Amino acid sequence: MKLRFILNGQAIELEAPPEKRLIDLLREDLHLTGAKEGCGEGECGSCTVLLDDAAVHACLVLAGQIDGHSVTTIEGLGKDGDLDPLQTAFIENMAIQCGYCTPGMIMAARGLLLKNLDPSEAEIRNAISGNICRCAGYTQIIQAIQEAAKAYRKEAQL
Amino acid sequence: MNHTYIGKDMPIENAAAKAMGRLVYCGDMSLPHMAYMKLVLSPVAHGIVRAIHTEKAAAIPGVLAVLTPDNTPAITYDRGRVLANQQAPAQETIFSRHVRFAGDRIAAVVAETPAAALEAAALVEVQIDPLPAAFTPEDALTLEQPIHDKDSVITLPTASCGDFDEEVGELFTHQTSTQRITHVAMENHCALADYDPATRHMTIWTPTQSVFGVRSVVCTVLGLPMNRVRVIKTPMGGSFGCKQEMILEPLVACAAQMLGRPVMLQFDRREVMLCTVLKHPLASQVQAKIDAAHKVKGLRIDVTLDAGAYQSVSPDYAETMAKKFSWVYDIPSIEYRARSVCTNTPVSGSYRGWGGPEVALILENTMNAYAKKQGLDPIDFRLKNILPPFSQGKFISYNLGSLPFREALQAGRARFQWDARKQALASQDRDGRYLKGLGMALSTHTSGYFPRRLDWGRVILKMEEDGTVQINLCVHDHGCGEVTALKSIAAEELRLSPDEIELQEGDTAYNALDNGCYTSRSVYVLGKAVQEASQSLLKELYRYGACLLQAPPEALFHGGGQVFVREEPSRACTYSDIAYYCADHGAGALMIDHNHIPESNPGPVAAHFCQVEVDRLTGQCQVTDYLAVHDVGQAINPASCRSQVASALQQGMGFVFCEKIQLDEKTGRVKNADLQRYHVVRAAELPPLDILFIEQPDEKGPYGAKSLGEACALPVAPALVAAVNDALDMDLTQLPLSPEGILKALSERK
Ligand code: FES
Ligand code: FES
Repeated sequence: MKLRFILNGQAIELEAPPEKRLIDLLREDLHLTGAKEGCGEGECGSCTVLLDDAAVHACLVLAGQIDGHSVTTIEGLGKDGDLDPLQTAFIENMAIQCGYCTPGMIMAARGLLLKNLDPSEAEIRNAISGNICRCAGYTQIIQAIQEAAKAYRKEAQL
Repeated sequence: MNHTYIGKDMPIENAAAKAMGRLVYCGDMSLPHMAYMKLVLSPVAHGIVRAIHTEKAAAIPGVLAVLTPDNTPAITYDRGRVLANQQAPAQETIFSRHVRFAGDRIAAVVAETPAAALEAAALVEVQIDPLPAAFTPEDALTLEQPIHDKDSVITLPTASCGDFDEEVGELFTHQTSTQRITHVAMENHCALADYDPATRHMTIWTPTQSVFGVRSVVCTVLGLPMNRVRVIKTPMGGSFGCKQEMILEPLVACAAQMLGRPVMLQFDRREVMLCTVLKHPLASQVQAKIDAAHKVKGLRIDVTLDAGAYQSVSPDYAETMAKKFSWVYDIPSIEYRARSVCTNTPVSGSYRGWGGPEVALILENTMNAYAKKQGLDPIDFRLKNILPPFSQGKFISYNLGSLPFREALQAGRARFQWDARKQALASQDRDGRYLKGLGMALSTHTSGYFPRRLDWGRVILKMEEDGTVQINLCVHDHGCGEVTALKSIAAEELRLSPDEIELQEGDTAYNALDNGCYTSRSVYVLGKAVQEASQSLLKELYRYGACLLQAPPEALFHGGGQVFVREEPSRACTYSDIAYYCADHGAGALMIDHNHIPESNPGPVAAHFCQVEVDRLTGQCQVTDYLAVHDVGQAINPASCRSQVASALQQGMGFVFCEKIQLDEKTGRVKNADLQRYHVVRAAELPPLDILFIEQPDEKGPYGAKSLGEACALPVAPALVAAVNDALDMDLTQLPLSPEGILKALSERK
C-alpha cells in the first residue's frame, strides 16, 4: 500500500505492505537504525518511537497504522544539529552504558515529557517500566529525565 | 593523589553517538549484496535427522542457499575455545544430524531479505527419529545411549587440601541448587561475515569478547589461514558473558564462503534464549566442619553442573570453582568434587563471574545457614573466619593482595546500621502479614587470569604528528566503559584530554594476539599495559623534547600537550612539535610497543548488606534497602563503577526472585523463550542502592585499581537469600525464591 506520513518532521511517501512492522520499515526501508529490536513483542522498549505524540513500541505497530500520522525516531530528536535536552541529560548524567536501550529509553521519556513537563519520580519510573536496561540500575536514567524536564520547562518559559 | 581524570565521573565512550541512535551495532550494518541467514532448529530434544527436504524452501523467491549437514563442514569444534591448542571437548559441528536439544541447529537458509529467509526456513522439512532424552543430570546418568560418544559426563579430579576427615568439629550439611537463566543483554546476538573469493579474504564483524577466539574457531572449521581472516569487534549492547562463546560467527563465515557475498545472522530473543548459552543449573552438597570456637575447619563440596547439550566451557567452569572456595575464609581442609553432565537441554556456558557467583552462593548460603542455626551474628561469624590480608587461597600459588575483608565488613556494618536494624527487627510482629529480614554476604574474585597462561596486554601507542594519540590494543568493551577507563589512564599519564586519545577495539588484522576480555581483566591487565606504555611514550617525548628545547630531560615537565622547562615554562614545545621533530630528524615515528605481563592478581573484596520484606499472603519479596561495599583499589570511573554494581543488583534480584528458563518436562522444549514469560526486574522494583567504595590502591594495578565488573555480581544472590530466610525464619536454598515457592514453603511449615 502507499503510505503517506510525517517522518522526523518531513512528509514522506512510500510503498510498503500494510502488515509490515514499523520497526522493520524504519530499519530496513528507511535505514533508521536508532530504534533497536530487543524482544519483538512489546516487552523491552528498545524499539520505542513516537507515533504522533505518544511513545509506542515500533515492533507492535504496523505500517498500515502510521498512514496519515507522524512518526518521530531518535534520529529526529534535537533541532538544527543540537542535541535534545534529553540526549544531553543522558550523556551528562552517565545514564548511558552499552547504549542499546538508550534510543528507546530517550523516546519513552520524550513521550512522557510531551504529556507532563513536571513528572514525579514515580511517574518517570512508570513511564520507563516498559523499557529494560540491563547495564545499570535506572537511577541515572531517572535523574537524566528529571534534568531534561527541567531544561524543557525552562525552555517553555522563555 | 590529585588526578585530573582518574576517579572522576566520565561519560561513556561514544555517549553522544549512543544518545543520538547513531552508533552502529552489528545488526545496524549493511553491506552491498548482503544476504540474511535464518536457522532451522530442532523441535526435538534428542534424535537423528533422517531426512531434510529443502525443495520448498529453495523455491521461495530470493533464497540463495540452504545449508545443511550435507553441504557444510562436519569438523567438530568447541565454541568456548580461544586457541586451537587448548584442550577442549570438541563436540559441536556447524549443523548436525544428531540433534541433542530442542533448539539444536539442523540447517539454515540464506536469502536476499530477512523476510524471505524467515519464510523459507519455516519450509525446510525435517524428519527426526527420536532418541530417549534426559533433561536433568540425574536422568542423563541413566541414559543407555549417552548423548555424546565421548565426554557426556566429565568428572573432575578431586581438588583437595588438608584432610577433611581429620578435622575436628561439628558436621554441618547444606545444599544449594539453582536454575537455568538467560543473560538478557539487550542486544541480541548478531554476526556478519564477508568473503571475497577473488582475494580469499574473510572479514567478520561481531560483538564478541574475543576476536582471536572467533578467528581460531572459524579457521579451524573452514580451514582458512589465520592471516586472511579478519575479525572486527563491533559495539556491544551488553554481554554479561553471553557473547564470550563463538556461536554465530562460524555459521555466517561458512555461508559467506559458500556464497562469496556478505551474510548476516541476527538472532531474535527466542533464538538467544534457545541457542546461545545459558547459566548452568547447578546442584551442590556441602559438608562443613566447624569447631566450638566457630572456626570453619573443613569443607567438602560436591557440585554437579548441567552442561546442556554440549560440554564446551562447562568442565573448565567447574574446575575454576575449586579455588574460589578457598579465598575468602581461612579453612584448613577443603575437598572439592565436581562433574559436568551433558543433558538434552540448551547449552550452558559463560555467565558473568564464571563460577564466582555460584561459589559465593553455595559458600555464603552455608555460612548464613550455620550462623542462623547457631544464633550467631553473620558478620561476627565471618570476622572469625576471614583470610588475613596478603594471604593466598588454597589451590593457588599467588598472593591475593590487601583483601580488606575486615574493613568491608566493619564499614558495611556501620553504614547499613546493621546492629540497629537487627535490634529493630527482633521485635517485629512475627504473625503479621509482612515480615522483614536482613541478609549479607562476602566474597572476592579475580582481577585477571594470572597465573593462568594467556594473560598479557600488548599495546602499541602512537603519537600522531598533531600530538593526538592512538592506542592499538585488543580490547572488547562490553558496553560498561572499558575504553573510557583505558583512555582516562592514558590521558592522565600524558596530561592530554581523553578526547585527544583514540582507541579502536579488537581487530585481528592490527592487534597482537590476545585472549579476549574475560574475567574482569580489562582494567587491571590492559589498563596497566596502557599506563606503562604511556609512561614510555612520555619518556620519548622528554628525550626528543630535550633536544628540541636544548635542556636536559630531567629539567623538563609536561602538561596541556606540551613539554616545558620546569624552571622556565616559557621554554616549551608542543607534543606535535616533538612529533615533527622526530619525523624530520631521522628518529622516525613516535611509537611505543609495550608488552605487559602481569605477575599479580589481587582479589577485589565485596560485602553486600540488604533488607527485604516478604509478604506472607502473596509470597512476594520486596528488597527495601541495599548496601554494596566494594574494594576497588581505585575507581577509575566511579560513574561506570556505580552502574556496574547497580546492574549486578538488578540481575542478581532477577536470579533470586523471578528469572527461570522453564523446560517442558515431556519434550524438553523451552516454554518461556520470550520476555513476556521470562521476567526480569524492572525499574520500579529496584530498591535504593547505597554503594561504598573502599579505595586502598593495589600495588600493581593501574592507579591502584582492582577489578569490579564481575566481583559485584557475587554477593547479591546469597545476601538476598539470607534476608528472605531471616524474614521467614527458614532455610530456602533452591532458587528461584518465587512467590509460589515461598507460599508452598510457608504452607508446608504449618
Ligand atoms: S523490540 Fe519492541 S518492545 Fe522489545
Ligand atoms: S545501557 Fe545497556 S541496556 Fe541500557
